[in-house]
Amino acid sequence: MSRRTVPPAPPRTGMAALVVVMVLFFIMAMVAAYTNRNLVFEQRTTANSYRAERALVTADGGVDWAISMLNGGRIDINCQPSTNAADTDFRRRYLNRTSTGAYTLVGSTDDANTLYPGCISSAGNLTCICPTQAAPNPDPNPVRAWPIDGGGTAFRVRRWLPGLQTRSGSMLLEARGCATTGTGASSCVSANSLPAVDAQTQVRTTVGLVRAMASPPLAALTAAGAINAGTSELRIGNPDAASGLTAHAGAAITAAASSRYAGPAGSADDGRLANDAALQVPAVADRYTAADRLFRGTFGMDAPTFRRQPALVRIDCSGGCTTAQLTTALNNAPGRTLWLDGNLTIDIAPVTGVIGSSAEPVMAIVTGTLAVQAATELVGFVYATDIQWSGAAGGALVRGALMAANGFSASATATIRYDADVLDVIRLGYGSFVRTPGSWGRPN
Amino acid sequence: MNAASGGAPGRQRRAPRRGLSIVELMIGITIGLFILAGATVVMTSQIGDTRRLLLEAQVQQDVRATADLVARDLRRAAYWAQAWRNVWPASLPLALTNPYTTMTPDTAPAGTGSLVYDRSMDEADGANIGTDNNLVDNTDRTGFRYNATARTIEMLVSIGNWQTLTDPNVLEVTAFNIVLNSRNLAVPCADQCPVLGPTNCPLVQVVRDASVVISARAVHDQSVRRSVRTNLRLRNDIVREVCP
Repeated sequence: MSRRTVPPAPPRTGMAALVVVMVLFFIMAMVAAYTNRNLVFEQRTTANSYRAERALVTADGGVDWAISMLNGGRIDINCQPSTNAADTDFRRRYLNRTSTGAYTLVGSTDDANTLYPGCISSAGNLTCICPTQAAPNPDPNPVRAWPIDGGGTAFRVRRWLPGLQTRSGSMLLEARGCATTGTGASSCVSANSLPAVDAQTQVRTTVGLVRAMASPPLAALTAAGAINAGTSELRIGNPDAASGLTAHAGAAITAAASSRYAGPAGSADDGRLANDAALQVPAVADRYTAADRLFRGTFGMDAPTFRRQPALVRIDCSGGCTTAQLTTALNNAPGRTLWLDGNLTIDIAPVTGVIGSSAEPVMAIVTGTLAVQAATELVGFVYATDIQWSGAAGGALVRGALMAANGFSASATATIRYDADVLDVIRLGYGSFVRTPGSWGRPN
Repeated sequence: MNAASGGAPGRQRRAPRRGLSIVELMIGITIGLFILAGATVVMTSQIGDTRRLLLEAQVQQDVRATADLVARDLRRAAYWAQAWRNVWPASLPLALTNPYTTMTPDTAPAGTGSLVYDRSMDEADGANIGTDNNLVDNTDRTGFRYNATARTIEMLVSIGNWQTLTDPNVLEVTAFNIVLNSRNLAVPCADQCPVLGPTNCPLVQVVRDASVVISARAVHDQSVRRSVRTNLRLRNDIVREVCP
């Protein structure tokens, strides 16, 4: 068997060719990139424009968010609705209201230590933080999961005194919007003035308070129709010289002869004013519509507009509401106006014995009848179509004022004391924050 | 001589040919010319494309920058650094009104090539928040207009002083149009509004939006055309008294 001999393989020489080809490809890529440099420039310009617009839109969203939070109820540290009485609402967390209705800032005012509420938006989720005075720096926040892909947007909100001075019912909001969120201490929501984000912009807007009560009532008890206590006593006092009236009615005032009316010190009479033609009972069809002149005159705007206010809490009382629903609403939304569609019955006294307080009085509009049937104290102002006082309510006390769009009737002793301080709290602090026209600007 | 090497005895052996024959050379040159011609066509096309691309980028960039500038400034028309004076305090009978609400024309639903308006610039140059003298100064009034003669867009930088925004050496602006829409919303203040004017007429809130359209073409190649449209909401509404 012969063995076939295989000639030796020639030496491989392809490496040099490969290198040459790679160099040629690289040169071609460079030439292509050079040729298309305008496209690269254009893409960068477009990306910059996109980031700038994204930051601006986010900053605008931050202002909107802050306004909605100012009009909201009690919240926890993550800005979520809370029923915990230890939590405060956004408004009280960041603003102190003075006796004139002006606001001062809670906490430090320097850049590093002021309180910055803010949010990050990623993958359709909004994660927010509303730091308290005990936790002025929002970072690091263990509940926040930073987007690992660097996506999403973020904003933080800062408060300023408008014009660096106090002004009744007015506050300046400054929102920083970022095209990306950043992370940790260099994130958009941090106190860092130079966050590590793609783009950032700031917008400022002044917000003003649309008051829930334009001017306080003139009397402790007002009824557009008649005040009829029959043989029961009325015990009504008004020590406030600026208002002066005790009972004010568009028709007759009827009560037991033993009733007591106490006007301001030094006043000549008992402060009753009956058959006042200026008080007109709205027609049934006009009640709580734009044609309701009594409502407009009392609250400064028509009822449908008033009802749409963002800070108003609307409660369905078509089946009738009781003390329990009222106190729950007051707990969840302190300092807000309540609008109850239907009847409200004060059937029992709450555990504390008092509904509302001098600091957070009740401000309620009841489209049906307010029936006071329990011996309790109510602090605040209630406007209802009809007001009835009966049963065990002989020991009840209203500190503030009551107003009936139709009539007031009582089959038990009714005690009402006009409290100007309580009504001032409502007049100066209750209402909705809205944008002030002309205030949108961007810091230079 | 070794017989194995072949060849007739006495005949001189021919040396191996070196170099290219004339045929090979011509074929090579022909192929090279084809390649060169193709490369020239490609290069010419590339140069033309690059030039056109450059023109498009220049026109596009100039138009976009101008539209951006117009939008950014127009967005804050009627800005008032002391808008808090508009808030009706409990202690004062009247709120002050915004002094920067002038806009000419007031509305232009069919479009306009010239728009002049006011916004406060008193906070510029590091002044404190809320700095404002409540007067329309030289720099507070601005505007944009189309110069049909020079085919440029101009900005009013101070009263009587218009500055060209677009580069007339690069592009000719063929159209500049601002559609300005406004709607009057009734202010729900019932019977207790502060009186803003002597006639005690109802107040309205004027809500405005604008659409800015700029069309342009390159000076050196008029087939290169670009158009940009920007829609924006003027953030600062105006509250004014409107008599029925």
